[in-house]
Amino acid sequence: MSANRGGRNFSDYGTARINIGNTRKRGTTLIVASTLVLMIFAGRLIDLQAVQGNKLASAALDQRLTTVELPAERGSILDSSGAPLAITVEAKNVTADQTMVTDPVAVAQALSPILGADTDILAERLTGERRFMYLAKEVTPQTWEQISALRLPGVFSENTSRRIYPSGDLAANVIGFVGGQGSGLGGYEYAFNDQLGGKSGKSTYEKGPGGRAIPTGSSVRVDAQPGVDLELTIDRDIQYFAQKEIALAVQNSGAIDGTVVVMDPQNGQILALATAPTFDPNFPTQSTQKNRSNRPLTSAFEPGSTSKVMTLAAVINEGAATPYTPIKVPSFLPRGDKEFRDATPHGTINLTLSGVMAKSSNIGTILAAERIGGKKLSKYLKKFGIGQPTGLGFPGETSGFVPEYEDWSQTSLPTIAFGQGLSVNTVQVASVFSTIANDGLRVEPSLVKRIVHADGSVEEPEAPATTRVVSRETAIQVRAMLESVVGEGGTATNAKIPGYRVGGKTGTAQVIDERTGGYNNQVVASFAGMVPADNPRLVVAVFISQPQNGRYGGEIAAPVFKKVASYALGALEIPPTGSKAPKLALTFGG
Amino acid sequence: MSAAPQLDHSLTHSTDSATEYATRGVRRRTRENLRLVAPIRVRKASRGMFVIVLASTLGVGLFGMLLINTTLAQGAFTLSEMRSTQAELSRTEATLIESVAALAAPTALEEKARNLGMVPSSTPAFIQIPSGKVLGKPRPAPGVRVATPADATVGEVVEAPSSSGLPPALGQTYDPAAADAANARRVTGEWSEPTLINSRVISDDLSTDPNAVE
Repeated sequence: MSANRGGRNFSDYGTARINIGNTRKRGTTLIVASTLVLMIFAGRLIDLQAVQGNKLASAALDQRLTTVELPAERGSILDSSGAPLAITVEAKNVTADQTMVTDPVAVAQALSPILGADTDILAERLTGERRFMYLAKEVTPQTWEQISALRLPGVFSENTSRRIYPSGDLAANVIGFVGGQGSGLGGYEYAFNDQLGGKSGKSTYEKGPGGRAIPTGSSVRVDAQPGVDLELTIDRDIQYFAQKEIALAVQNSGAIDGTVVVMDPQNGQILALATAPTFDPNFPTQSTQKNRSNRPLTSAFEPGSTSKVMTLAAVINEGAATPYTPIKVPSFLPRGDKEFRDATPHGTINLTLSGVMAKSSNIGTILAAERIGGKKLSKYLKKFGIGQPTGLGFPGETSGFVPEYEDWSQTSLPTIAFGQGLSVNTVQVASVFSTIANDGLRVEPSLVKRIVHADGSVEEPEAPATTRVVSRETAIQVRAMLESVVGEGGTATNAKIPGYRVGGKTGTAQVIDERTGGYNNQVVASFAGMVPADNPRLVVAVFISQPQNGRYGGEIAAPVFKKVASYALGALEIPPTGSKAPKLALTFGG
Repeated sequence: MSAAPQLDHSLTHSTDSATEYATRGVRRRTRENLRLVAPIRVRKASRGMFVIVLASTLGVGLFGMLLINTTLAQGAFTLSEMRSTQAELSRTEATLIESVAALAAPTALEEKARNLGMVPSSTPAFIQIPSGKVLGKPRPAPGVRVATPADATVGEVVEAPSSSGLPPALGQTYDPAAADAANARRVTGEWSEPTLINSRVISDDLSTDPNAVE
């Protein structure tokens, strides 16, 4: 501080004593100051290293660390033979950095033919100041390679995956579909979403300036757990055929919709679950909510005459009648405040119980049901699975409805006996016929054959629940009666398959008008049957809702049964049994 | 050795001054005579060795570090390269899976079969082997003409029964010319009836209305 004052002042410090004193003071000050500075340094050092040490080190690491999510591969949905119904493949999203695009129109024109998108829309998406913009989503890797080869500035890609349904609408109603985020929104895609989706993993590593991992740096990798493969009991070929035939029948009859269920009665496995109209899960948004539903399970209707098989099986099982029991059938039958009639007017006729089944007489069925009473009938219906969940656990499934016996009115027994005043879905009807086909033992229906985990381990579903509904003897007698329906004089000669013994039952149920609450002129035409009747291996149930050309189950639904069952017999290699159908007397000399 | 006298001298000199200083003190101390000691021999060779060892250790260490880093960096490059190859391969796999699935779909198969002139069978039937018994009632598919052996020309006869009437056993040499000669009767259009039990002969139905439904 005094240096600039020149040499004059130097003489002031001439005496050694002052000089020494000042030096000492300065030394002390220096030591104190540097000690203080060092202490601050030391303090800061302790603060940095010991107090904040871990925090800072991890903050530094965080700057270098990058975490990448490793998406889990969604499991496939397969048919019973392992053929893919839904698979996930790699795909690319095409993105753009608008600030890097100098000539949006030229880029759009180059991309347009490859992406199949409109040039104007692409150009619009390429113009602006946004650093990230989607140009196209879920394109195939080859499409991206084509784009990549053009070396367009500002056009990038992003890895993603795409759910594809290679067979289009095949079993779409069962499989369902996925939404934009790749999670299931309908059908089994939805019901098994968590299992199919797996668990995503992540990879954390230290990244160098070039974006490449620093080899000596720390890295943690948690591998993704791929989803399970869901193997259905559906047979792809039978499903395809059933779907085609029901679509054709719905179209030709001018009906609003139709359903087909093919079932193996011995193990309850559903081989085909078809409906028409349906949808293509590759483009779910192009369909209506109604057509995306799995009608065989989600829509309930009055079964009509197909329900008579339950009533008559119950009557025989209770020992109240045999297939030969004569029943005098009047032209009409007053019960409660109603008069019941048969579909075709007639005078008093003499039918055997078999005749009642073959001719589908409402009055005959009511008279037979009265032999056991409503309480017992109600019990049998429940055992057959009516009004109960099917056990398939399908989203949106209906259990149908049958009133509790306590709530039955005077007209309940007569109406329920021939299939009115209760509602069912197609799978429940197929299950009723499967019970008769399987000698009276009901096997709960199933749609999932097994679940295959990513590590190859196989998860078998629990064995389906079985219930004894009617005795074996009853089942055999009912089957013989069902054969007479298809035989000469029955209502379903169209269901006959040359060389095979076929048993089944037609139904033509009136539809309840939603506005009036009463029955209108529309019907649900149905046929459910089994083949070979003496040792049933297949049960097929066909329901066609509100046909305009034609009306009866025997003329609309029975031919569909014949075609689908014929195909399934060939596909499953089921030969005819070679035995002859019994001839049951349908009438008696009165 | 020439340094020794000089050293001696300087030592003497300093001793003198030290003695002077000491006599000035309060106490007079007797002091042991200083004597000349041989200089400590430093082995020059071992120092050189030490330097070499040190330098080479450093060198090896540095080189090792360089090597490890290079290897690791190389590994990182290879890894990233292989990852992209893997990605490329799995893309190809995905593409192939997709096209196989699309080609194997029932819709595609049916279209191909129809293009080949095939039609779905309307009634299932089976031939029991070896009895030849026909199970079921086969019918020709409606609206389609089925080729009979009478349509076959020489060279188109695929089946070549041996003289015993049975196909040649596996591995047995098969002479097409001899087989054609043996089958001359069939090739000329004469149709030998197959043995059928419990059912009509398939070719019977061909002459009748093919659309007949039982």
